[in-house]
Amino acid sequence: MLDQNMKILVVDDFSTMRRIIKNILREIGYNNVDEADDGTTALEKLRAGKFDFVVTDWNMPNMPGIELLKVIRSDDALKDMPVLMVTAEAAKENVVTAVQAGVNNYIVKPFTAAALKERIDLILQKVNQ
Amino acid sequence: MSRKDWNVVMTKIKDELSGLAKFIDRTRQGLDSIETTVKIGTEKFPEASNQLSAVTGDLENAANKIMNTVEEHMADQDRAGALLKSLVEWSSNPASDPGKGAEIAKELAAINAKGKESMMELFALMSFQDLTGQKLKKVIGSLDVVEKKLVEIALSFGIDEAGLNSSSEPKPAGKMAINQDVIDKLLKELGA
Repeated sequence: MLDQNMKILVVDDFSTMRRIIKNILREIGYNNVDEADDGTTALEKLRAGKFDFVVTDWNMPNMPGIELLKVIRSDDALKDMPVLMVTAEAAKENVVTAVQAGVNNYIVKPFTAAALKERIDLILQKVNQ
Repeated sequence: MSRKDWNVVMTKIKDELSGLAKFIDRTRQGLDSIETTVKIGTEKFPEASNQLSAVTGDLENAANKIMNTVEEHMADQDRAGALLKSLVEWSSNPASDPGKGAEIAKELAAINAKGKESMMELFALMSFQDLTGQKLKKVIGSLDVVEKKLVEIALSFGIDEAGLNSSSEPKPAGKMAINQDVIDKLLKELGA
């Protein structure tokens, strides 16, 4: 059962964006948050630590968010991990690609704390059913 | 071959050679322009690239500084909330500690003054917009110089300006951006 104590990994190549997301998460009650600056680092962290939830950007060097999502879904140990895409990619094609790759929800930047909370709540509601 | 036919052939060869000479001359001029453009490009592109890197760095620094100030302000707000709570509790029985009310008020005043200072600092930090704007203008200037040189090359090779103008029109974007409401509906439709 995932709740406010779940461990969240925030993946974004911009330190400012990671900081914004971490602050918003803290503001809405999620204090157990770690960060990674690209998909490759995120995967290392996901495989090494016990994470419950991933918030990832799409455009990143080395391994973009969509690749990270695909690797997560193809990894037996990680395949059930809820993934929320937070990105500037607002094209329909991107949303469809992300859904086909198994994303749990999708938010376009810039976003509000309320929007992030709403999507996380929605994901948790489905996952905990 | 008669003398008359011979003259016609000679005139044709002369015209061909003259045309060839003009073509070679134009090509040589074009090559000179390429050399100049490459030279300008090697100076201007790294300059533009450096300016863009500086803009990215400036924006990141500014955002971090602004967030430092906001985070500090939020912590002060929490402290002010706690002090107000203490003040309310104290006011129900001031005789228990007569000096406490003044102490709390003093600390609240200090937090208030610091808050005002923070807001002013935020205003100052917004100057990053002006600084990055200036750097971007330099990048645009560099690109303009290279663009002019490229047009000169194209013209020296006989490509007309009308053709250049038609090809320089912005291409329509391949992907259409959609808003969060549409994304939410799409996610629902796709079962995410």
